[in-house]
Amino acid sequence: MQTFSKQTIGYGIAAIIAILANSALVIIKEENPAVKAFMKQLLYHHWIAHGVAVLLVFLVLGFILTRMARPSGARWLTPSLVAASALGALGIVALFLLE
Amino acid sequence: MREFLLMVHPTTGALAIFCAIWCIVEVLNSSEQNRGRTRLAALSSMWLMVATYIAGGYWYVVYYAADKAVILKSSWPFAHTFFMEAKEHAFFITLILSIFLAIIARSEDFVRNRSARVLAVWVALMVILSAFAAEGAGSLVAMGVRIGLTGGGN
Repeated sequence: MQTFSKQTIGYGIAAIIAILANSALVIIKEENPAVKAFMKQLLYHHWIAHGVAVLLVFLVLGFILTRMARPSGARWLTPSLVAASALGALGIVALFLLE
Repeated sequence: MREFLLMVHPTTGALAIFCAIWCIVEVLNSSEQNRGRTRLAALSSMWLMVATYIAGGYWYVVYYAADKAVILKSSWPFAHTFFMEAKEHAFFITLILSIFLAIIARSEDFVRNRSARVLAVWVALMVILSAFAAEGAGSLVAMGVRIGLTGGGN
């Protein structure tokens, strides 16, 4: 059986979560000006805070999940990542198209 | 300096796309001989995308406000309200995928593992597609500024 490494599984799950978290954070901050203002206050510009938060979710979660993961077939990984990326991108496009 | 910075990020973005295409070619022709090249292609794509993030982000945070004001007063306000807003946030998906591509290339054996080859090709394709979309959105933002300054587009 062909297996993925611990790193691929750990960072793959982290990528799925970070991509969906990115879109969720866009929707939350665009719908709540107080959240956007808080992010701006935190790191000078809301976009800087947004990027740092998303990258931290990916890198920290990937680091932790890599240590917890075992090499496995994980046939769900590729379709899940593709679906999460498509859903994340479509969510962002839909939000700004409908605003 | 401002114009230089404005040109740097689409250039590094385009080079990151080329490296992702190069990575696909290496993965689809995996052998014992091209392991190093595959990793180099994925790593180059990742670092070029990081450079795009830093250069584009610096320009966006420091200089974009003036362009935004011009676009919003033009007949093409959607160049900011849709294209720039979507691009600046969807870019994080591209960045995460390009970092993940480098992690896959570093930790997987593409010669023996078909699943890893399929995953790497999908991730690289999504990097290419999303980065091309960002390049296109960027050109529409530039057109929005031009229309705002020249009064065209009516």
